Amino acid sequence: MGGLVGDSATRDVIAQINARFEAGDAILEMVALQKEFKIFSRKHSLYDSWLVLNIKASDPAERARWKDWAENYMKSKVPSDLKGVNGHDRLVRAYQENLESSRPLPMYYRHHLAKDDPRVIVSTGKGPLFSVVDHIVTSIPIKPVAGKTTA
Amino acid sequence: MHPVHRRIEAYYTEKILCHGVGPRGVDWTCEATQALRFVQLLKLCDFSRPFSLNDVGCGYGALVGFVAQRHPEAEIDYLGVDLSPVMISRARRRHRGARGCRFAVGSGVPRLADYAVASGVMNIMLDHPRALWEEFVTDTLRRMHASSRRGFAVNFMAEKSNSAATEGLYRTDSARWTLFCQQALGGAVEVVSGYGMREFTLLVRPKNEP
Repeated sequence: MGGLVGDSATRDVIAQINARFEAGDAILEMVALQKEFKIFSRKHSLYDSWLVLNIKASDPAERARWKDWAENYMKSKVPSDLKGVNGHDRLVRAYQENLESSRPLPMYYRHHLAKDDPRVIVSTGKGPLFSVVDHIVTSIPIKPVAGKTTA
Repeated sequence: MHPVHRRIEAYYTEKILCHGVGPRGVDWTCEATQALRFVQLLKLCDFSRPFSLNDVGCGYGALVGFVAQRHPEAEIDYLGVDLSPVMISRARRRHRGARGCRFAVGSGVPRLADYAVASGVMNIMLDHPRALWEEFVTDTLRRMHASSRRGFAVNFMAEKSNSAATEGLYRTDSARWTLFCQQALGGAVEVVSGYGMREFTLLVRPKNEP
């Protein structure tokens, strides 16, 4: 990211992602959806998978930017913690592997500064503020842009 | 029109006008959860031979698109019925030219078919008293039963333990409606649950299926 997607759209979409993959009923629903429809797989882009779940920016212009970010920028510019795997494919793999595992965990989407680590990082750890259960944490590098309203 | 039907019609008409054609327009979270419910409901049907299907509370006809994708070889004589003229107008526009596919506005089921399905029609109770809503559920189940030769399927939201009821939603116990379908309608009931949602689906077949 970095000047690609508006702040409000980013907050909006991340809130949707975290709500749909949170501990409890939500993650159970995702596991069932993955089992039935293979929503996350190499056959589908991350953006399309989110879209099937109705996870999208409410503003159509921002939606187009999210698509560009997810399908182009994340594939071509962002590496991941797995050698030879780009950021986009790493996220798809993280969703697929977790949802299809024998002990799926809730998932938490967050950001870190690209200057600290330019890679998409997937780890197991604590999720949101008040959660005490382990989550699969996907952390996305961002480059804040001075003087803009974009993240 | 019955006052309960009038309220439901107004509710869903507002939804489709506000959100347009799509899962939000019929009060579902997303296309995927909508489709997962269709998967359960359609477990009722024998796709190895042609059949007729009544879709009660069909909305904009999402089931038509789902069946076309999931069972492209199926030969189905489909009738979608909905209380909301706006929904039916959207459904007709969306599925114009689709073979074996018709839509009608109404509170009843206007023909006898092999199967009937209803997805989500029992959930939005609004501020109706629970007893009145259960009369509506009973009446809808009776109509579905009377208009289907080989059975009907319907889903409900299951009760949540240790949590307050969500205002306006009807949650219930599978035993209550299983018993009704067995005793009052004389059906053989299969309860489908554990598909990742706090819901259950009843597949109700005649005891001696034709």
